[in-house]
Amino acid sequence: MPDEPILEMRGLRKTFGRAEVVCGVDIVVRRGEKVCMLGPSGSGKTTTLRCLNLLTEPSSGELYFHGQLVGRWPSGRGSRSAANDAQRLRRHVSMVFQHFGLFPHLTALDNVTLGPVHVLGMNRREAAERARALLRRVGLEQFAEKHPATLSGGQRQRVAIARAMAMNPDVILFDEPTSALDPEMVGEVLSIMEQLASDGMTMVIVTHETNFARHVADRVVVMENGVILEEGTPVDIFERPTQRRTREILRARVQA
Amino acid sequence: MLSLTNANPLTILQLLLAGGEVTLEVSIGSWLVSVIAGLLFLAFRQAPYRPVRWAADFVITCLRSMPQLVLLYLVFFGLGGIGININPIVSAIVALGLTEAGFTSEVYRAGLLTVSDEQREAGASLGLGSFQIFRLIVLPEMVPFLVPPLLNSFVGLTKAATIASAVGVPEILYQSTTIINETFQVLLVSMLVIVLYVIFTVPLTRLSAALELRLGYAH
Ligand SMILES: Nc1ncnc2c1ncn2[C@@H]1O[C@H](COP(=O)(O)OP(=O)(O)OP(=O)(O)O)[C@@H](O)[C@H]1O
Ligand SMILES: [Mg+2]
Repeated sequence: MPDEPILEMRGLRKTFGRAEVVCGVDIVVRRGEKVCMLGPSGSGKTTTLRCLNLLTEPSSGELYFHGQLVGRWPSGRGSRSAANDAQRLRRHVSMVFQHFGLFPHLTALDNVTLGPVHVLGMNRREAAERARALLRRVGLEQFAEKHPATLSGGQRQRVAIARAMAMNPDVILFDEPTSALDPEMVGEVLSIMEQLASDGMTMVIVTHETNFARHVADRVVVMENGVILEEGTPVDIFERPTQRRTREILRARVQA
Repeated sequence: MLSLTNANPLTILQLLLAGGEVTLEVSIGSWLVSVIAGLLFLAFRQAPYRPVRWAADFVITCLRSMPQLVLLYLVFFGLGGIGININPIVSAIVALGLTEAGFTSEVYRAGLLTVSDEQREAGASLGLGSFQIFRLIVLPEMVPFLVPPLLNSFVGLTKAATIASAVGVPEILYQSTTIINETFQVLLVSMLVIVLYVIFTVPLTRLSAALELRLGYAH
């Protein structure tokens, strides 16, 4: 079923202290879809994304995974079953972080095998074989035994992408995967992501790379002040936005 | 006891080495107590129940502010007074170990802080549970940070172990005092004790530095 919703968030709100930073966001991610989220700094993109794998707990809202209710907030916070549900969800929803989040005490290979071995229960031999194949896909097979500290930023992010892929996830969430990189390394990471997209992976990508969004996204979501300002195909958003603010935000981005 | 009236340096050395062995026993024992009790203290200090945390903080503060000798007397004579007789070596191990554990739990706490939340989140995002995150990510990342202070604490304990002489444990200081009382060789005995300590602790501090380098993968 190509249109089957994989992740669905309804009425998401998130409050930190007294500030409400996400104020009623609905997002549906369907199988194979690439959703790019754009928006100015502080608009709530990261918070929204982190609520999709429950790294951040929503203040209110409902989250569905394959049509099944994962959680409804507000609820008994921090309850044991909520923690278990979140953990189970994250087996299927991987994440790539802005600052890579690689484990410094492990080699690139062990970073990639950690999840499969300890979460999926795969045996080490098989996990290592698959990890090597994934590292080859991101062009880093010869760096398998290196520690993250010895890799460049672009290489680290590619390892992080391989690590996310190793879980065989239903969706991968990306939070500004290229924002912490030197400009000359942005391309190598984006091209891996494009390749992943064309292989049919379902992806939600927070990014400031408008060019990337323009030709990889199936849908672009523009956020501001904790709400979705506008949402549509790249053509809708970039060529004929209905909101003046959208145009201004995108123009600011292209110039930046 | 050997007659020491015309003792030669070799006999003195042998006696001191026997004492050194006991010192080592006390310091290894109390170090192990501190490493384990420190973990328990840390767990109590982070317990979800406030009264438990308060109790743990209170106990740790008391332990850290009390002279070790007082605690040793408390353990040895105090427990003896209520009919629980434990041997002097064990009481020294317990008293020194518990005092040190207050410090060790601080080391653990600081160690936990060196591992960023981003690391824990990266683990969580893979579907690891909280204990797996601790075992596979937090613990191995904080070990390089823990090694030097824990080794130093061991070196400190080899010196603190001398207070065990107060309850009659025949450790190195006790032996020296006995020898000095019988031979009046204050200078010789002191020099030998110093040399023994230096020979023993210098490699340990070196080891600590070397391990720190080897285990410090971060940058
Ligand atoms: N853990 C937190 N505690 C308190 N405030 C937070 C926390 N996380 C985010 N915020 C606040 O919430 C708002 C939205 O943050 P968020 O990180 O979601 O924005 P963003 O769209 O990802 O911005 P950027 O483009 O800078 O990454 C910001 O004002 C931020 O300061
Ligand atoms: Mg952000």
